[in-house]
Amino acid sequence: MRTLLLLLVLPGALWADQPLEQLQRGMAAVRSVYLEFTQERHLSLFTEPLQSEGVMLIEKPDRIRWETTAPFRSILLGDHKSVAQFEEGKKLNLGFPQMLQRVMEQMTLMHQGKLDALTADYTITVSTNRIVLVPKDANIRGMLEAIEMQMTPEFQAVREIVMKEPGGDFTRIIMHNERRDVTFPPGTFDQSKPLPLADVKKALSHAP
Amino acid sequence: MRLETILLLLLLTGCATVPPPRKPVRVTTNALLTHRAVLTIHGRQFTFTGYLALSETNGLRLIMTSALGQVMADVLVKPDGAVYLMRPSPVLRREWIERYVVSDMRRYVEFLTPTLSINDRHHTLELRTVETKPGPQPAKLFEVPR
Repeated sequence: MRTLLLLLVLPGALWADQPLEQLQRGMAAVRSVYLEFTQERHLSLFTEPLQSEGVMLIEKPDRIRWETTAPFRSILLGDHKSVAQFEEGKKLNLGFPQMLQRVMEQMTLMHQGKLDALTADYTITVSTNRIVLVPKDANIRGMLEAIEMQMTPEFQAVREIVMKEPGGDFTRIIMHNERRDVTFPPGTFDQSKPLPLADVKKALSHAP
Repeated sequence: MRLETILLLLLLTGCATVPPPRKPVRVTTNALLTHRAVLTIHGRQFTFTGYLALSETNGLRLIMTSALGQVMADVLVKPDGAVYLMRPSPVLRREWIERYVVSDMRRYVEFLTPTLSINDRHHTLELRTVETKPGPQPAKLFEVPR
């Protein structure tokens, strides 16, 4: 009976590991990522989703810039040491920076395919083109039921992230216009005076 | 004690225990507004995105989300001034929402300006209206919970 159970479970487990390894392998060689996103906040109370737009920039080993460009301008910058936020160009004296830094770090790990580094915080399952992360901490699950990552068919990149809340509300982040291995200009990740996005884009448009 | 712990305790316990008296509120438009706000408490800053539904006949409903998208407050204020917390906040205490969030909502609808700055000894709120969708809002937004 035990053998039968093993036979039933083992192929699934092996199969489940492959996409994660594939993702990690595919992303390991990627030095940097530039992508644009559309964020949809689906609240059951509203008939239409509430939308925002922006860009996400990641540079190895751990630098991230998450910038909302519409309907308001806000920049979040993070690395393994610190996090900073700018609102309409003004730097904030952040409350609870550690919490924000942890989230930024997790976002970087997800987009680098380093999901094994998240197993302490999440139970991870894989199905066709989809990776689901369920928080292990019950308190966090009370606010965030699961994170679903929609992948490209070859598990080479994240296309969409859905953050599900217990009440049925969710946030969908759709990634597009992704560019890899770009060279960001100096100041892109500067936590004191980040280079304006227009200048970053200009530098990237001139890059080969 | 770490500053974060003190702030968290402040937010959780609130500074006030007496809820503000009920005052009727007059809404003069129908719209869904998106606000971006920076809240400062004891020098530390937090950003919020607020979705404020306004109804001339039904009052106002605010859903306030954190920088990470988490719902921090969900409040309904009826035209007669009755306040309903539509879901529990994971961080903000009921008294804090009733006293400060609702008071700021009232202040906002009084002026309906694109930007508003509120400063008292407990908090500073810098608020900007970043999107306005005019028109009647769904009645279910203003239904009183049973």
